[in-house]
Amino acid sequence: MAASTRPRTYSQARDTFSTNRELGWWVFMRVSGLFLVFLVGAHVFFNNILVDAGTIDYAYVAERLAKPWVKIFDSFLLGFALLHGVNGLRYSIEDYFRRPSTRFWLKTALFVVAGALFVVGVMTLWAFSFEEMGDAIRNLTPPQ
Amino acid sequence: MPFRIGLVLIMAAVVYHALNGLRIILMDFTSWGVRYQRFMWYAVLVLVTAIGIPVLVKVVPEIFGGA
Repeated sequence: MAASTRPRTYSQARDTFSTNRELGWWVFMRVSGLFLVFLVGAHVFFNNILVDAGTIDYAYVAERLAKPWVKIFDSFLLGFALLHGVNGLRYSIEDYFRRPSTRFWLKTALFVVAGALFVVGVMTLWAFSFEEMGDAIRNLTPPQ
Repeated sequence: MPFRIGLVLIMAAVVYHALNGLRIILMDFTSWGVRYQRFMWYAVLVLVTAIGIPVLVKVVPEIFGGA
């Protein structure tokens, strides 16, 4: 689908996309985009305005991730941002690359990288006990 | 210092992408969105500038002075 034929309204989108799955992604980009405005806004507020981003250390991150609501909030941010970003890159690949094999391999690479980022993100958020690690850090090393 | 230059660039990109995306949502889902899309694009530029100036005021001194 070339950029010039992008649907402008929901009814045009329904006529344009041959499958419900593509229509679903079209709607998802709008809904997730709206959520991400608030998710990313709060992320910037807590990590760049409330504190100086240059002085964030391990203790600050460990203390934040010890709170369950931060883990849940960051999980939504991770999931929505990755799906929104990957689908946007998929649109760009399909807009700008014509050869089927090029499209296939670029999209394969994209999905592999995205899957790896998702696994690393989920592990970072959920696999460690930050309460314990926070204590260990406080007891073993002086603050930087 | 490279980190803070990247910070300015990513803030500009994210704020523009977010506001332009909201403009596209209004075009897609309201009856009047397409009619006012040109005005809304200029409104996006004004808002990006309005948000960008405090970002520059905070971050640019840190690029030259900060750790």
